[in-house]
Amino acid sequence: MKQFFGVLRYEYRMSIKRRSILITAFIFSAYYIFMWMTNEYSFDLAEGIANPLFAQAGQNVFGLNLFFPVVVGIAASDRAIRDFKLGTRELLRATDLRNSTYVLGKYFGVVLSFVTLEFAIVFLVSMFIVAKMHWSALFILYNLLSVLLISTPGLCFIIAFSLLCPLFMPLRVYQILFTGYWYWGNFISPTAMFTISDTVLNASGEFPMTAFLGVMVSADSPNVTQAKAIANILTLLLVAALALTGMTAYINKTEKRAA
Amino acid sequence: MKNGANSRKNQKFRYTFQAFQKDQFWLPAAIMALFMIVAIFIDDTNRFNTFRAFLGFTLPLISGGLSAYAFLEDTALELQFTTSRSAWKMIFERLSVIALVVALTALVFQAYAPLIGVDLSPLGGLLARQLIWAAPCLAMLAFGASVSLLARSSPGGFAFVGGFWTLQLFMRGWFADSPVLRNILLFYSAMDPSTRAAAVNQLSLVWIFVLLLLATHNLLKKTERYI
Repeated sequence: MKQFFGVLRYEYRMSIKRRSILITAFIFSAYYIFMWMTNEYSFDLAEGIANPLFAQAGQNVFGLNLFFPVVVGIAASDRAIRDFKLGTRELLRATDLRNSTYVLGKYFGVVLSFVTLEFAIVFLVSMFIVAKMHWSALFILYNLLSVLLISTPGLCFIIAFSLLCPLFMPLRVYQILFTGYWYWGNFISPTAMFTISDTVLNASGEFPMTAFLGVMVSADSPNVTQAKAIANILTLLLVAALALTGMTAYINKTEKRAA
Repeated sequence: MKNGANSRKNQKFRYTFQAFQKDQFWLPAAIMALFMIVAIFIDDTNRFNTFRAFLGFTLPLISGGLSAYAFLEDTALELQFTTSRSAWKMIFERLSVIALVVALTALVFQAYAPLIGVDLSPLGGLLARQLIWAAPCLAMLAFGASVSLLARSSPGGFAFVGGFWTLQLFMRGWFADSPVLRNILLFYSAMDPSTRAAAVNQLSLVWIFVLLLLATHNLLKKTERYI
């Protein structure tokens, strides 16, 4: 456990201190605030919605979630492979750190760093909106809850693959494919072409937003039941766990071969 | 003397190719192959859109992605900086290879269209059609290079390129509606081909390419930033 928290703490600090990523995330967020203020993001609300303020907060986070995971997926993709490139893995192998502990520590360190970053962005954005629109301060709390409900399962899913895939494919190949996947796999209509956007593998957060908050991305959006939204979240977390298991197995195998 | 000069030229050329990892060459071809397969299986109404999506939307992303990795991943970068070669020469060597690969991919993909019965004439005549992918690809080529040098990190640079591309993709309607902002929309000429506005957009993207190329040159000259 001590080793796990050691890896997690170290990874968290390294991941969150990258200036280029922080600047990129904040630039896009500033642009997003501008778009939000010009009413470019306005989705349909379901009839008789229970909590309109929470629904607004959900929209707010979902709007950010259109592109924030792209920055996250790309930024997270060099976190594991750099240990191999820089020879840090060699050093770690000399210790009694188990590969599964290393993978889990690394993973949760990266996830927490980006969730923290999103919390910071959403907190600033919602404070700005509360001040400008004279809304209740509860809006800030709803925004932070929406991050956990809408964004976090998707981030857990993509970060697992961002750590795993660059181990066996070139980094830039993964990054380009990932950017394409984000749009294809989450936002393209299944009527236009084959996509996984209407399945429980959708990582955009649309399912929980529609099912729990009553916000629909468009008027012809399919109705999502709460059971489907829960299945969506559980599937994303399960697939992420499988990817991490695969990553541990891959590292075990390559190190066995090298020994 | 002439043989010696030729041999030096050949060595430089070989080095430029070796400095690029092989995925720079096979990635555009692999994605093109994927689109070719999709184009076969997709219904007739969306087949043309598959071609438009690859040429006008996907190729600029590939172009920007590859150029973000064109300079800083070279393990002999410090050695390169100690030589008297000009920054322009280095930029040309690195970016022209990517531009060439992207151009070949675009041409092969267009040649494939008549084979599966797709008419690309809605995108304009043979020459006008080339500007639909060439102008945004050039802009992204210089954008990827300059941003990665600015960030002093290839993944950091690509994070910006990817974010920018995604943002433009989601907001393309909003950009296209603005008479000013549509000129920086990478996909405008693919969305609204053969119009005067598309021509203005292409021209402005070429200008952006030139300006970003100058920025890349300025950044590359500050060699101490990358050591």
